[in-house]
Amino acid sequence: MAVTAGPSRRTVEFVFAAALIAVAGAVFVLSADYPAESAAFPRVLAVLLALCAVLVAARQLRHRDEAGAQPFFLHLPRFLITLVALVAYVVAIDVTGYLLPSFALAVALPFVLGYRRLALTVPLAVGTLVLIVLVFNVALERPMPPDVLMHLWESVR
Amino acid sequence: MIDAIIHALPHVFAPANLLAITIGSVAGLVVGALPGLTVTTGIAILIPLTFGLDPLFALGMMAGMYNAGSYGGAIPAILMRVPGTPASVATILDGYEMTKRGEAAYALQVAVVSGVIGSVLSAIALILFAPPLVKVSLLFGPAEYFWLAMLGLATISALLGDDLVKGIAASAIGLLIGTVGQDLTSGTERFTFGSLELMDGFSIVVLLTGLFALPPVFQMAEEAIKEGMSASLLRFKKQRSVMREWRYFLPVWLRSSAIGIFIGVMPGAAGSMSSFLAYNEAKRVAHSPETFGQGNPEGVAASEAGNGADNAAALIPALSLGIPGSGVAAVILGGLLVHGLRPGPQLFRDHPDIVYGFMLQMLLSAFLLFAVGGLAATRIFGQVLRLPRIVLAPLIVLFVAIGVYAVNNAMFDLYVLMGVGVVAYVLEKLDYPQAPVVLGLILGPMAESQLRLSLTISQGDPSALVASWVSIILALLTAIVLVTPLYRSWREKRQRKPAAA
Repeated sequence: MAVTAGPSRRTVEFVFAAALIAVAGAVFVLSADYPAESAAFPRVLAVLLALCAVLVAARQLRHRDEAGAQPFFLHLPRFLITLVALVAYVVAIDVTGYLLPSFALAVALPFVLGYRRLALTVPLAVGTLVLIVLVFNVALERPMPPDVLMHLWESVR
Repeated sequence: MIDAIIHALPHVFAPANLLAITIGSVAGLVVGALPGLTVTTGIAILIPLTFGLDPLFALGMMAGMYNAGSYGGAIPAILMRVPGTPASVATILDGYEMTKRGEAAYALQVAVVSGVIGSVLSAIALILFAPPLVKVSLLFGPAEYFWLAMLGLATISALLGDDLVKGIAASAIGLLIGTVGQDLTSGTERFTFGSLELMDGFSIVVLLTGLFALPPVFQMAEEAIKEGMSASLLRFKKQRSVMREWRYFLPVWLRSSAIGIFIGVMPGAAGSMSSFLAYNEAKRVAHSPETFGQGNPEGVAASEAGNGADNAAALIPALSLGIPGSGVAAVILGGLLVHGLRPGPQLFRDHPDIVYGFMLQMLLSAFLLFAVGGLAATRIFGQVLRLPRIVLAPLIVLFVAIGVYAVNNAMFDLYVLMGVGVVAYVLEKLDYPQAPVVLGLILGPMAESQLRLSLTISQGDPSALVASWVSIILALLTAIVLVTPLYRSWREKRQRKPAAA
């Protein structure tokens, strides 16, 4: 349980409230460089945000209820796997284009999370990508990230 | 109004726009039927996909998705006892009991017909009531617009979710994000860190998509449910006809629709509240209330008619005043802005063909729900429910990624999408409502510019903000909306104390 659960909800409430206070502080400090009329609105908002974050944190300290002790994540390893996969996916799109990373994500993510029926995921991934290319690129003429496979597709067309 | 409607009719019935409503309805059914995906998520996915297309084509898809998605939630609610959307929770109470009795097809029929009737009446209310409300907003100057924005933010912060402090914090986050970019009044770059991509601020499409489409993906991956719905539940045999029993259902439909419309118009109140209130009212006036919860079709009819009836009604304050009645309406508001359509009187004045066209599309999509949401379609789309959610999660990402990239042809937007998605997941898990973030983003620039304009006109005199009766009323309403949850909480604590003693 402890391995999969990660931090408690209360801990995350505190960390998130602290992050909000830090963001509010940064906004307040950065606004000092702007003319008064441009700085006033973000500064008021920064104070409001910091105040709310302090209240949220204070409430957590006052009410040490059972809900706060519950784990924040349903399953931390699966969350982290998904997060890493999504970040890698975007980086890969930047490098190789849209199609290959998309196919890899649609097949590999369920596989890594425990779903091993490639007979379903592979055709589904191919079908979805064909649909996306037909709808986006062919029918709607919308741009797609430059892709090594699209160069091949263009030469075939 | 009649002229504008007549002028809009040919646009609405153009083949491409009819196709858009049909596609939106089909997609809405799927989105609503898949637990973990909401109509809000579906529309958030749609916005980048429709960016750059004809506004009525885009709005037609949104209208179809809105009406069909709110019914779609009833499918897993009735078949699996899993609410597809929060509003379909009340449908479970009797719908699933009917399925257990072998009346799944009949329960789905009751749900779709009731949803259609609620949606149609709601769309008629939208067409009738939104234009008069616009006349009121024509009385507004800069100070009034500032207070209107504050009222919108206060209502959404106070009424969505159970936590006023988190609601206000979410609004402040949205308002702060709205300050990023070049200040149009002074020309100062705020919080851009020299980045050219941030000169015009964050793209609302990217933020909306990240806020609503990615958290369900993380949730689905965490749950890792490897099984779809059982095939045995998706076999339907011919059952009774709701249309032959219309006299029996008529009072429930009318009463529940009236409740749904009333709740829908209240800013921040729409959503699951209308279906629950309609269900409770049907039970209260029933001859045999003890049969509710035991598989009474009236329970399904009340819940779904109430649910359908708040759809278009929630757009009444959204289109005419810029104050959305629900989270979905807030996202649609964002969708309008993406297409260069700013809600309020200027929308009715400058783009009457589009605004009335959209209202007619809401009506048309409600009727279309009969066709695409009928039992045949329910059978077909029911098959999508057999897809394991663990497989569905990455497929959503594929659609979202390509849609977001297409907005500006920029990889930067995909990185922003991922960042916003993670923050949105934390916000959702910690019960920070997301709709105030969206509304803060939309109303923030308007609130700031109108505040500054008002102070400039009055040469810095802050009393100009409460110089007119409209401003005073709006300011008082804002204060009341903010104080009400605090008063309610104080009263509950006071009542609890003597009980404990």
